[in-house]
Amino acid sequence: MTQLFAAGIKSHVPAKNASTQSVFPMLDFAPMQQATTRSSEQSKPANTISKTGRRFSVVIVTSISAETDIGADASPTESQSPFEELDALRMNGLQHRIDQIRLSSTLSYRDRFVARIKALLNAYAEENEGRAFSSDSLRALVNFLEENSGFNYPDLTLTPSGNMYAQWKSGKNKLLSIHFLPTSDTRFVIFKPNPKHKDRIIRISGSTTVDALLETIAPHGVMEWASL
Amino acid sequence: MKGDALPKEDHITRLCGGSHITEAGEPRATAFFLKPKDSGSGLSVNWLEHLGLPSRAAEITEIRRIMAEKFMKGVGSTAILAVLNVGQALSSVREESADNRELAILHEPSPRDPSHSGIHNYTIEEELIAELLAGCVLDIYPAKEE
Repeated sequence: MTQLFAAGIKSHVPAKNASTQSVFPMLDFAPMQQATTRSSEQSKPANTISKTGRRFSVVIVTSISAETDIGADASPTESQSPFEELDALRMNGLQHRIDQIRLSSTLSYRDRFVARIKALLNAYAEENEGRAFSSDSLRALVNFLEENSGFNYPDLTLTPSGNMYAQWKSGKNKLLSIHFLPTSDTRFVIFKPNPKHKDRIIRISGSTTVDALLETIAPHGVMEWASL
Repeated sequence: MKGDALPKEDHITRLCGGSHITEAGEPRATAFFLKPKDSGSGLSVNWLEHLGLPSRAAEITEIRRIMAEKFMKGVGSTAILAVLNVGQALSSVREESADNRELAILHEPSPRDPSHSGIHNYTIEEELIAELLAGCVLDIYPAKEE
């Protein structure tokens, strides 16, 4: 049962507890489907224009309790607060973005990527009372990966604020982590071997806009372990 | 006593939600990121030796019980408990951060969570400190009983 990871972590977690396991195993996008089907009032469709100029429809759900989303304590008959309505809108927007990725992304690992995003969506909703993570952060990550197709499939996790955090790691001395903020800014961390002292590690952190990220980090040799 | 620094030879555990764990089941730096609400209180951890139990297995069982009580909606189904050594975490950050950062790991008990402690002296924007803490994880356990 005990497993030793490359990083030296001793795991006592059975394989079935892996983070890809969905808390809604029978449903795809379960939180939204449950929400829309259990709503006690009518939902109203609205047309919205995304930041990329694309027009799409969203469903503004006006009366979903936290319980219908993830099993929280509120009564299904209570009307939603503005914050809950905003949460529902965000969830719909995020699911629309994931659909866009699934249908039209050019990522070579698209299917695996979408499956991972869905698993993170479930995990984040479970930890945060049904809330969705940042759709803008996901957009920044996908745009970066599509525009820089030489990058390998990254380890993806979420920050507590719901931003995407991508990591490429090789052993203890080669690491690239990028925090994609919703504002199209990024913060990054790089660990790389010290060329003058093989047993030492150089550690660098910084911030830049997502469109200047590659030219900022590439000189540090990160493509050696982050590329295909 | 409240506010005391934890002994360097002792261990802490951090509850890592499923969104901070890789597909392979390893906790990442995001499990050690502060939330905006944590900025004054530090990163929540539990001091294992303070529980006074005879084995690591017994300590983990007790932490699971405390977490289940503390989080009314329950601990996430994929969450894990990550164990770190106090002295190793402090020295790793001191030796490997650019400004030789001195973190403080302090006992901050509450009536329902007497082993509760906090990691202090870093901010929400310091991903490198979180990476260094993630690199100090020794063991991981499911956060829920099997």
